[in-house]
Amino acid sequence: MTLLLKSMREEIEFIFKKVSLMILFFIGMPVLTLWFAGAYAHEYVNDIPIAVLDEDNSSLSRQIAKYFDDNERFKIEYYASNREELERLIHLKKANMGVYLPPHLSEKVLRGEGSQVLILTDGANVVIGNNAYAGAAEIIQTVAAGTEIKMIEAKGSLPNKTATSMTLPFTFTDRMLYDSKLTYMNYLIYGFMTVFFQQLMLSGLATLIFRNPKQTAGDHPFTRLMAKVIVAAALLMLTGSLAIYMINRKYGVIFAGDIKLALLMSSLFAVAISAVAILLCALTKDKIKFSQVSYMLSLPTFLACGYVWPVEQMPSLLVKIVKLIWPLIYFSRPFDEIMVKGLAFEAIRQNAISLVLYSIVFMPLTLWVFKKRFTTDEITKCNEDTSILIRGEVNL
Amino acid sequence: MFESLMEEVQKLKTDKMIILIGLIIPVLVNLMIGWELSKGVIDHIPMAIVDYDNSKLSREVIGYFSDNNTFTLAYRVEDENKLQSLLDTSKVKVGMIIPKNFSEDVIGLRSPSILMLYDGSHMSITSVAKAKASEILLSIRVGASIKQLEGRLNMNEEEAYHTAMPINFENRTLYNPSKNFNYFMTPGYGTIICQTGIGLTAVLCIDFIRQGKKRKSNLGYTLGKTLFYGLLGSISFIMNVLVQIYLFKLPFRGSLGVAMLLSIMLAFAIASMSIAVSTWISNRVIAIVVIGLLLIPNSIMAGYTWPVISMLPFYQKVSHIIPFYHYGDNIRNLFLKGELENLGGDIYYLLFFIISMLVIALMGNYKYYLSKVKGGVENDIAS
Repeated sequence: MTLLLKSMREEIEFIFKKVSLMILFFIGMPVLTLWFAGAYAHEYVNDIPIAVLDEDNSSLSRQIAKYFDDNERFKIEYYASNREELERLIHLKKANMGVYLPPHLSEKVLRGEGSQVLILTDGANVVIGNNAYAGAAEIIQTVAAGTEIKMIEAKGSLPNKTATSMTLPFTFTDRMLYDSKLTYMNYLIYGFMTVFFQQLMLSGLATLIFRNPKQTAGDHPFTRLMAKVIVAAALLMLTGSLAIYMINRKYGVIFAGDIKLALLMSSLFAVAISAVAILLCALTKDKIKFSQVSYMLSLPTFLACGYVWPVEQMPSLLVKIVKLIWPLIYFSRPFDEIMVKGLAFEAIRQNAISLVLYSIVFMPLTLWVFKKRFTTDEITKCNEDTSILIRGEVNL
Repeated sequence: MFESLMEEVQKLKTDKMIILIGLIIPVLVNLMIGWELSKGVIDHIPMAIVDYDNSKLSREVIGYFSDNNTFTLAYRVEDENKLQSLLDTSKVKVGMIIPKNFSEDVIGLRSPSILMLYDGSHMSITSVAKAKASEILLSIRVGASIKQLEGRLNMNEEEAYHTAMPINFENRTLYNPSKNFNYFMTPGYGTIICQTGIGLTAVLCIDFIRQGKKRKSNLGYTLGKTLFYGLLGSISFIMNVLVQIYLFKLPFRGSLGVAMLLSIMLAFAIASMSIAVSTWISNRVIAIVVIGLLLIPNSIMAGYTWPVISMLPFYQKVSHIIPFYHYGDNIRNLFLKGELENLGGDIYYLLFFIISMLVIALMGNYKYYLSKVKGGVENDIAS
């Protein structure tokens, strides 16, 4: 215990001597979080440029066009003169959606023959396409329902209430739970934060390990490594909490979770990812190589952790492989759900157990590799970096 | 220049990290992304239902959902509390509550309301579920409205249909009609891992001692490095495109030549930028951090997924500077549309970017020459 506390004090002293480490541990989480959150500061995709082709030019068609123009989601940028031009504008990305109002739209509707409004959406960017489609469907359905009510009133000489009930024999109400506005910010930011936490843990821990790898490997390696892990994790969890507070205040990001549970999951993940960090340090034995590998892993580990593309939709064999080798899959989505949905421990128990099991299996293995790699007579390259640089031999 | 290029070629024999980081990991990650997103569309979303009515009509409504591939009817529960609990514990993502006397109220023109509950914490699932559920419920509602019109106003089927649907709404999603995520994400994400690989290897290439000593050949020295890493990046990017076309069978409607031209330009842009960073930052770890921060967030900051038009003005301006901004949408459009609207402009920008970065790199080299290199570097490192 004394050695653990003594080692922790040494690590803290070392951090306060190095500006780069202070930036990494104290500024990294808040700055990265605010930087990424800023990109999603506008909650919705608004002002989507659209083109309209109005071949009817009646009061009804102009009214429909006006509904689109008045809707904050759309901005009419072009009025096309024919179908080819309308499609061309979408093809050339000048408009993300086209609204085609066919000839005799109003006449046909009045005669009870029905007509059709065609919406063309650019599906190349699914995010814009989905938003455009949802907005357009809402507008057209509102116009259609209003028109239908008027027609039924006229045809059956019925009161408005009966006509409305015949138009809408039943209604349906959508209730969006946990994030009523369904924003990209709330959807993504906690996932990004888990990756920042992972990457900063990897980088920070590697710097602390490469400070004295031989000493660590030779004398009470477990205690000395745990001192580094505890200090790195504690500092990052502290600044991560600050980052959450800042995005909550500045951007209104949902914070509905149990902070103790969030900290518990973060701690379990910190230990699990430390096993990976120690293993990578042992295998590379070089901080530069370690940095290269850990940066290269940030994107694939995020893509494969089930955050953006749900785990249930991934091939089951890939899920098994990912679960076996990288612990982010047990942390990223559960952490988000703790924060946004306020999940209770029972709901994330399985993930917590998986993180513990991951650490139990991998930590002894990585310790063994670490000890073996750093107690041999090989040159510990990380400590040679400076001299190598001076000799100009890096990577030659 | 040739000497500088050959130095890097020699490195390939001793430094396995160049091949590992620059080629092998990007290819493996591309294979992983293609495999992961091979399904392309989200389906079988777990759903729970509370049916307080238990009538023929309510069962019909439920039947439409259970027959649809988008949903999997995972639970039927007795009350809203149990449904809420299933949503709270993420066992289902969608809930539907059909009220008591639903069928009677429809017949009696009392417009009952079906309540749909969605888990708003997982947007990619919820947006698919909401769009599909609305589509199903609207179809059922139009059908019910037609029946009302036929029964109450003695309309024939066609008349009732046109009255219930005075303005039909047809949507055509161009280029990616199934809204396949694989088509949407893979071309860009595959590139981002390639450019990160090139950036992380090129950023280590400058030899500070040599560049200061041999000032006369600084231009050739910088060009040699740029050429090597630009070519390595080109191979990586082109392999990435070919894997997506021929292995994962992503639709490719454009010209392979244009894709290669764009890939080569981006590869040289990334190589020159990394070398510029390398000349100015002698601490290799910090240089890696800087290039990582410049390249990894590109999918977000360059508007590949979240559109630039929805960003704050500052982010919009920054996005235009990023080389990937001039590549990402273009390569996806080559896959899905086949034609590009501003290829010339983007190529010119990338060319301008490469030249600018080379100038910055030369200035970095010159700075070391002026500061009497050896002592300067040693002091720098020591500090």
